[in-house]
This record gives sequence, C-alpha cells and structure tokens, in this order.
Amino acid sequence: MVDRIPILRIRDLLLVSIQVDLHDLLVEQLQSDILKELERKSARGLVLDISALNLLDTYTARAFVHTAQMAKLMGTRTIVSGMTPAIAMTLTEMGFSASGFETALDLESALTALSFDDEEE
Amino acid sequence: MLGSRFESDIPQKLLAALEANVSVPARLRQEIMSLSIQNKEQVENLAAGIVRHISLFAGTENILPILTKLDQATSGVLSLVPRDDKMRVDNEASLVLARRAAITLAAKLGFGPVERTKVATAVSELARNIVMYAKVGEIRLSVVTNPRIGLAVEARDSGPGITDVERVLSGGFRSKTGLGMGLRGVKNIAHEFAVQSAPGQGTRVRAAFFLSVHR
Repeated sequence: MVDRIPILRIRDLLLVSIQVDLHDLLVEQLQSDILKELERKSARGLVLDISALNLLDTYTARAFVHTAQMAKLMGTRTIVSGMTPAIAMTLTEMGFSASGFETALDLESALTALSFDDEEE
Repeated sequence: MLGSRFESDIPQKLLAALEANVSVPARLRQEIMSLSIQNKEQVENLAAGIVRHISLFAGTENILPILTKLDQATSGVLSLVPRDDKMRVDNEASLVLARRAAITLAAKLGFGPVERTKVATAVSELARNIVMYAKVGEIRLSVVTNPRIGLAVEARDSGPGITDVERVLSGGFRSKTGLGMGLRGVKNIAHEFAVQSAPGQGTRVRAAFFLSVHR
C-alpha cells in the first residue's frame, strides 16, 4: 500500500489530489504532512480533491473536518472538491453533517473560490 | 499468445450464452463485445449491467441460474456468480481488502454505483469498529435472496462489547473515536440492521442491502 500522499504547492495554495484507497494511517500521515507544510510556509488555501475516491466513510470525513479546523487555526482555508454523488448521498443518509468543511463541485470551482486567478492580475 | 487468443473469444462466448437465455439489446451487446477482461472496473460494471438486465427481463429468480450458465460458457474467467466471502479483520490493510471485496460482490449482484458505495462504506465502518475496539474480528459477505436478491454484511468479534446498544444507536452516546456515528450511519443506510452485543460478550452486527428493482 502507498504510505504517503503528495502535497503540491502552487503559489500560495496547497493541492492534494487523493487517488488511492484511503486507510487510517494514510489519513493521519496526510494530516500531519499538511500541518508541517503550513508551518514551513503559510498558504492561503488548501484543496483536497477526492474525485477519484469511490468511498468516504465517517472516520475519514471526520479526519477531513479536523484537518480543515487545524488549517483554519493556521490561517488557511480548506475546500474539499470533487465528491461523487454516491459519496454525497451515502454520507448524508448516514447523518454526517457537511458543515464541517467547505466543498466545491470540482477542482476548478475550488480554485476559483480561492481566487487562484487573482494573482495574475 | 495462446492466453490472449483464449481470452479474446470470452466476449463472444459470454454473449452467446446470455442470448440463449434472454434477449440482449444492442447497447449491452456492444458493451460485452468491447469488454477487456483485464480491466477490473469494466468487468464489474458489465457484471452489474448483466444482472440488472436479467432481473428486468427474466426475473430475479433467474439471476443466479443464468449467471451460472454464463460462468460455465466462459470457463469461469469472469466469475460472475457472486460467492460468499469471509475475511479476518485485524489491521488497516484487511480493512481496505474487505471494502474492495464488498464492492466487487455488490457489482456482481447488479448494484449501481450509489449502492456499491453504501455497501463498501458499511463494511468500512464495521471493520474499523472491529480494529479499534476488538482488535480482531471477522467480516462475512453473503448473498441473500429473501425477500429480494441482495448482500448481507456481518461483522463479528469477541471484543469488549457495547454496554448500551440502544443509546449508541439513538445518538445519545458520542465517543471520541466515532463508534456511535459509524454504527448509526450503517443503520441509516442499510435496509435491514441488527446488533447483538453485551459487555464481555463481543459484538455481532448484521446489515443487509437489497437490489432495488426499479431502475
């Protein structure tokens, strides 16, 4: 199994595209890697793209909520992008509240929301 | 060389066997003929499509008999007949494997993407509870036919057990680790749900999901 998910830095944004089956240790590792990267150099936004996932259980969803809260304390806005309809339906029916993290339909919308283009101007 | 030639006539054999039992519309025929059997996801989607087609045009009682014939015709290469599965769960890796097995079995039963996600999520929650609280346990996946064709997930362990099941399920109990949310969540997405647990007696959870006939 993969033991690390890469974190990309583009200008002042961090981008994490999750393309492997998530397991708990991987989620914990990712969380601590993100915080370390934020400590090293601040970021305005963090995007977690989950469009390749076919499953997100409540444990992992809660871990994302915690990551978003910690990032916020470090001055970073987090957006989870690309949730599939199947995951959205499952989490909602399970009673998981989506209020814990901000979401965007896809990566592009997430970047727009974080005004990624602003710096060009 | 021989292997690839052997594999290349699998789609034809599959189509012929299916047509012997039920009429096959052009779209499904095309899907079968363009099948690449190395592509696991494509095989899963096709398997689900075939089951849904059989259930609509030949009746759900014919799903398993026809799938058996299809497997015979294709020398079992695609293993379309859904089989019960039993897995020991004791760490992260086994949790991931259990989830994948659930998705594969759900596809073989004709479940669509949303139902597949629900089944796999349920397995993930139950397997995690085992790893976190009991350390070791077992996940069983079985095919059920009553009242409709579907999939039952059973999680068993001999761990500490749950003191107040009712309270956990009603949401009155919130653990730091999220046991309550996972179990309640599974109850909410499953069509049938039962828990047996007492302190010191381990825990048994059964969640069943049925193939919806309206599609």
